Amino acid sequence: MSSPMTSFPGRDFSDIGDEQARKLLRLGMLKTFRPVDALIERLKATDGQEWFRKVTLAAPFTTILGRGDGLITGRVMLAQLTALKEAGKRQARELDRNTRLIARAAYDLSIAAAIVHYGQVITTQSRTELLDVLNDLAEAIPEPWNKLVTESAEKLAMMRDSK
Amino acid sequence: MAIEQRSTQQRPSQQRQGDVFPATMNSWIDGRLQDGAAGRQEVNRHVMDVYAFPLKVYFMGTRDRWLGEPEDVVQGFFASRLSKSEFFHNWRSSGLRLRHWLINGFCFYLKELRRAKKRALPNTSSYSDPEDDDPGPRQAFDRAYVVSLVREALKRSQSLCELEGLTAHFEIFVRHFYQGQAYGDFARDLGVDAARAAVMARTARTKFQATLRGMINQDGTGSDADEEIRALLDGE
Repeated sequence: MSSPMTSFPGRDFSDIGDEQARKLLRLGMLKTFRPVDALIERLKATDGQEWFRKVTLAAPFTTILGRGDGLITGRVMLAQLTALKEAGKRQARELDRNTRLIARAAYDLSIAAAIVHYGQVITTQSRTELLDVLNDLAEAIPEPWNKLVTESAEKLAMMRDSK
Repeated sequence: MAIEQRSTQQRPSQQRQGDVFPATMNSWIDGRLQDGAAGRQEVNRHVMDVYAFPLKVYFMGTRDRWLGEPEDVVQGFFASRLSKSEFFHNWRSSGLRLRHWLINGFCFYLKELRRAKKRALPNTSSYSDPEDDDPGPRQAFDRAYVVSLVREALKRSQSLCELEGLTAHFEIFVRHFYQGQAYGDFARDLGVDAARAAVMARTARTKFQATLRGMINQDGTGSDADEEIRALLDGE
């Protein structure tokens, strides 16, 4: 990879419009606590990696996929990934925190796997928000899942933003 | 009043990243005002940079346009008010956001101008005081304030990134967040892949966010910057 350019002409941004300014103003807000942040917090705990090993051996991974590692190998259908994401959404309404965290992992990993194995974005989240989620999750999740999530972020960054 | 000279001292939004969030602009203004004439000039420059444009937009939306050219009227207001030593003290005592304090002061200034014109030309019927209940100019002011605030924050974070060797990071931030380009469409032109571009943009975005929040804290009354942003987006 060649070195990035280091010199660009300065701008005065005199052409900025109302809507553009409002969009950029929103960037000034500190990130609110997203649902994925609870999962990231759990993964970063001292026993986080140990905890995660059991995650893909529980519902909804087992009920939809049988074995969770199909997400990594790609031996999974797109319909299964969508079903896993929807099951994660439903399970996220449970009262038990651990169950909700597993649901969140199912939700995010099904989205990541759909991007990697099928080049499909199976969520209506904005690309920018999703890219943030995947990049943040990639930093917390252990191998070999880290590779899946990182690759999904890379592929997503390459896709044209439709929003 | 010597308010054109730009001090070389860093404004709060140009401080290093770690220093930006704890220091509100209120404390920055207080600190700079204690530094005598140079500090006063720096505060005045900051106010003019951010508020000249929205005040001009406000003025152009009123029935006072006959009072003069927008640029002249707004600069006249700054010269009249920013030269008064008690101006910022009175603002702090008011509990108002700075932009509301300024627009109130600007309305009084326009009234003074109208009366001065009346005295100079007493037989002209069109010089009656306009009614103040039209929300249009005030709403236009608020929208223009957002534009001016964001534009100034972009300029300052651009300078900050240049100082810290993050020019390419800022360029990518602008391409994606300002111009709406997908990383995959331009990253290779800049010698990076799309994933790296996203990470670089996040670095510049953090600088922009810190700069913007520092500026918003100046306009507030001690409330959280997130609340201020929400209020601006809601048009409050």
